Amino acid sequence: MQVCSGFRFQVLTVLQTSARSLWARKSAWFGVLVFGVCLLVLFPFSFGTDLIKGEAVRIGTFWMIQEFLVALVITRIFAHETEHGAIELFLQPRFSKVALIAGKVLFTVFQLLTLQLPLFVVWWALYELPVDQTRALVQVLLPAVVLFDIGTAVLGVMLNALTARSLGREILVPILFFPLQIAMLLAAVQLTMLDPLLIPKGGFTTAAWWTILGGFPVILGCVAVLLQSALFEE
Amino acid sequence: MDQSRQGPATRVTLKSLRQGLRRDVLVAAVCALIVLAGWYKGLFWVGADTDQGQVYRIIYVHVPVAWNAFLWVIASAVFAGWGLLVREKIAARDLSSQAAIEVGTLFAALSLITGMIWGRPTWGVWWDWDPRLVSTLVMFLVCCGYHLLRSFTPDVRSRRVVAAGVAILAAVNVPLVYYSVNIWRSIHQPQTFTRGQTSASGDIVQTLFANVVAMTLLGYSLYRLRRGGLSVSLALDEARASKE
Repeated sequence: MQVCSGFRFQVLTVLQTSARSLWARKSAWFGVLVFGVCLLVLFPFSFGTDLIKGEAVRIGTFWMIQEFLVALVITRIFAHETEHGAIELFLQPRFSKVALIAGKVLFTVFQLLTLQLPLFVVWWALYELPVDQTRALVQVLLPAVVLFDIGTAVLGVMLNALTARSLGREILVPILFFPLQIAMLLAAVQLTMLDPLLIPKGGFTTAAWWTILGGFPVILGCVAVLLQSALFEE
Repeated sequence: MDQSRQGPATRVTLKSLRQGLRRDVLVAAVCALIVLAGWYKGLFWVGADTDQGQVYRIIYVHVPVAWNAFLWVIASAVFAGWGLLVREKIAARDLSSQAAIEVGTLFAALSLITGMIWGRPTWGVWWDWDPRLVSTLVMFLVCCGYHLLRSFTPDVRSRRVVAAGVAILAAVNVPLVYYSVNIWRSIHQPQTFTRGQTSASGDIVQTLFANVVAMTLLGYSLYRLRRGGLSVSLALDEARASKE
């Protein structure tokens, strides 16, 4: 079959299949977005509407909501393919498992970004981020979010594949995912704290936080490639 | 398989496994005595600490269990990787990996408990959101996730593979726990031993080292015990399956 020729073509096939499933089910994507907006509105009430204006709570809320989005997205990484039998195509011996991982990671990053962009605008408006701070934040936030998403996607793809034959995947994936993701979340939060007084001081510099945020996706990516045959057994 | 030969063969295997278990129980009991001797030395032979007084003596329990937690989680990943590399041996390596991570989980829990007991008189609280405490808790949770994954995966062949994958992922977290006291500002004391240097006196170092060795021996004997138990369990399952 055509799909089994060329690594790049295989990655594109995975991307195409995933994109079709996403856009064929726009309601699922829109539902996650609405859920994120609901959380943005609800959080000030749980923290107290005065407290929410504080820098630490504001950026913390942003990342907290990212975690909810991530939980919704990563538990369904292979859902469409599994429901419609397309996974059998990807599990053919001639289909590169690395291409499947790469395609799914790229698509998950894309999917997360399509949700994060409108949510950032809503967060910016609701949480009254001063305009002068916005530019400084975006400069840090954009690469931090991309690296965070890549690491999250790699881990999500791995855990989805690992738990594919398990019962209660909806419980298992978050249980395994969040503890393993914590270093990336911590690095992302630390890097996007605009107020230097709020950053907990330690032996780590900003460069070192970037190393953690960039290093984890690389380490997890290497683990995923090494475990490819174990991840996608028939 | 010939039914007439299968029964005695199974009996012989189970008999040898039972003997092995008895031997492992004996070794574990001896190791427990060595640990008790180490604690006796820590309680009555070494003097009190100039800053913390008598409270610091829990170091002779806390540090060895924490080291063993790291050791057995990494050992589990090594067995898991070995099993994935040499697929013919995956059943045996899976048992080793499971036994190792179970011992690791036990030590991680003990590490958290002893840390909290130490924290109450020194920090004034049972729990603080300190990086070392949180990262150790995270390691413990990943180990719990491993056990959940095993129980949620009914197919034996799949279970071996996915459990190996999670065991390897759990080990990725270990360096983060170990270096957390250096990475973040922490109320937890920094590493006592760094590149041939130590901030502790000679008698403390000696006693601590003896306790780490004793606890590692106990950890190994617990691992052997659990590994044997898992082998017996597997042999019984296979015997039942072949009967059916």
